[in-house]
Amino acid sequence: MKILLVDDSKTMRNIQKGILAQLGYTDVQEACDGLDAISKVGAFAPDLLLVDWNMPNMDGLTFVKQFRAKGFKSPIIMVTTEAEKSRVVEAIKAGVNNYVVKPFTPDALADRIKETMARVVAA
Amino acid sequence: MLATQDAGLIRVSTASDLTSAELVLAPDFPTLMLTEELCINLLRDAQVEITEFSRQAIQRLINEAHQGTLKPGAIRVANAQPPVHGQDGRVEWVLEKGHDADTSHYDRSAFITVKPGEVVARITAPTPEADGRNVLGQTIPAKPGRPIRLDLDDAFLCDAQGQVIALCEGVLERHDFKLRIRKVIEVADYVDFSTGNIDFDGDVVINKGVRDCFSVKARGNVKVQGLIEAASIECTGDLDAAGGFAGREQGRALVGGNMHAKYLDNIKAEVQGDLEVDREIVNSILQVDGQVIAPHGAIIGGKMTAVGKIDVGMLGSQAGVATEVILGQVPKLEAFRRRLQPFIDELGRRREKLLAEQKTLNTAGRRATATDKERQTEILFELSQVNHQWTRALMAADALDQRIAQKRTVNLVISRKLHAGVQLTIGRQRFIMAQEMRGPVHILLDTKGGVMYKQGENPPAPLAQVAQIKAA
Repeated sequence: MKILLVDDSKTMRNIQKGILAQLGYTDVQEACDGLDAISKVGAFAPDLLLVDWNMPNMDGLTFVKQFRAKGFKSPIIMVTTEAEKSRVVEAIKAGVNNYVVKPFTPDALADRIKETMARVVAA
Repeated sequence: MLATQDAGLIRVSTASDLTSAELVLAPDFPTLMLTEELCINLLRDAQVEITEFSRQAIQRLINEAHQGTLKPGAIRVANAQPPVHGQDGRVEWVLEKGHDADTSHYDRSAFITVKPGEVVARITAPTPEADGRNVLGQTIPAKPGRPIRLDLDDAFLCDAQGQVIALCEGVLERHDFKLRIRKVIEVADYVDFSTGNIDFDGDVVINKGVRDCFSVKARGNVKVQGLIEAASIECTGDLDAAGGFAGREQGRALVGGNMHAKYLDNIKAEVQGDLEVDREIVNSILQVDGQVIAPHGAIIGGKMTAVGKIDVGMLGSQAGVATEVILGQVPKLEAFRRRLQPFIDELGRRREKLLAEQKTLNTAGRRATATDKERQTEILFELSQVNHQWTRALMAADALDQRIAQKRTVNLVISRKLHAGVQLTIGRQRFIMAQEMRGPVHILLDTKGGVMYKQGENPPAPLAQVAQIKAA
């Protein structure tokens, strides 16, 4: 499964990559913000995206809207802070499938990914 | 036919072996009458094959005759083509007992060991023969070359290029053209300068002994019928020192299996299996992972560490030679356990540090910044990894501790005499025997781990009653 990590923090991307590797997902690409991600989705065609909310150049929400506008249907998990939790509904309306709140444990992220993919399969 | 021929003025002479034919001109032969037709007819009458050589020779003759330079006598006009006999096949032995000037005398091995895939020899096929022709055009048969026939068994392969390749590892034996690979080196005499050091993948049998400063290494068993002197023996299997081992402080043995010896004198040895000795063990430093079986023997001087039971006839000596026996230790496992502990401690420290930092960050609560939350996520990730490693290390340490406890044995039986002065190291205590004790004496632990002794039919009593105790 191809996974795109969209986060301006290299540390966070490394943590998520490490967790994904433990789950057996090694086909992972990274993008440092929304603009970088938009330029990569066409060629990479990810099956799942993990997207941070607050990023420079293009934030997570704007990216999700543009991603969906291009017709991509891949599931998106938004990585939010507690403060942004209230805006989760807005994110879901934009096309986000699930979310995880920082700080998260490796198990929590793993559960979210499994849950999201199970829903996609069921749909 | 010309009259000149009848007169014998010109004739053909062939050699008795038909390798040449000559035209013989008499002194009064009229040379101007010499023609090619005449010469050829003469040769044909004599049944000599007319070749290009013949025609050229005749032409030269005629030229000389016309020039007036022709001398009477015999002129060669035909040569046989000799046969080319085939050359016999050859074998080139690739592996020889070679060594250069820098090889030490100890390393100049008398044995050729081979490994799978090694080319042992190269066979050259015989060359083809070519028949010859005599002057009458008859075939002179050539002798064909004889091929080399090697006597090979399944341990060899001969490829299309004539290479003889070993298919297994062992010692190469060659008798004339017979090749075999033996999995056992057998030394008829001593391991000494005639054999060099031995390093072999298989068993080694030595019918006499091993001289000073030589080494025998075997990935198999070693059996020595005679005396092992101040030499080094290393084997993955069993060692049988049937003639004893007198190491004079230089002798070494490293045995992967069991060891048997007639006696041991001033050697250092590590035995992973059991050690059985018929007579005495004198001034030797031994580490035995199994049992020590010497019910008719004696341990005099030196240091013996045994994981299993020790059964010996006599321990120590009347002269009070320093003799130490270390019981209840599992040296290899204990060493490994000691190496594991710092790793566990370091993981524990990292864990504590992360937990402390996590606690600090958690107290910020709602005031935590995005950077704080990122750091919290990072800590959670690191903690999960450290916890995983720490748990595994603790489980490994626990399993090792259990294994050590299982293997730890304090079981020393002395059937004849236990001399005063003998030191028994058990755990952290060193017991120095205060008096001589007649056997049988049994040293063991009671159910509470206390060190006891039992002499004859008497009930067990604390060893401290008959020994001075010091810290080990």
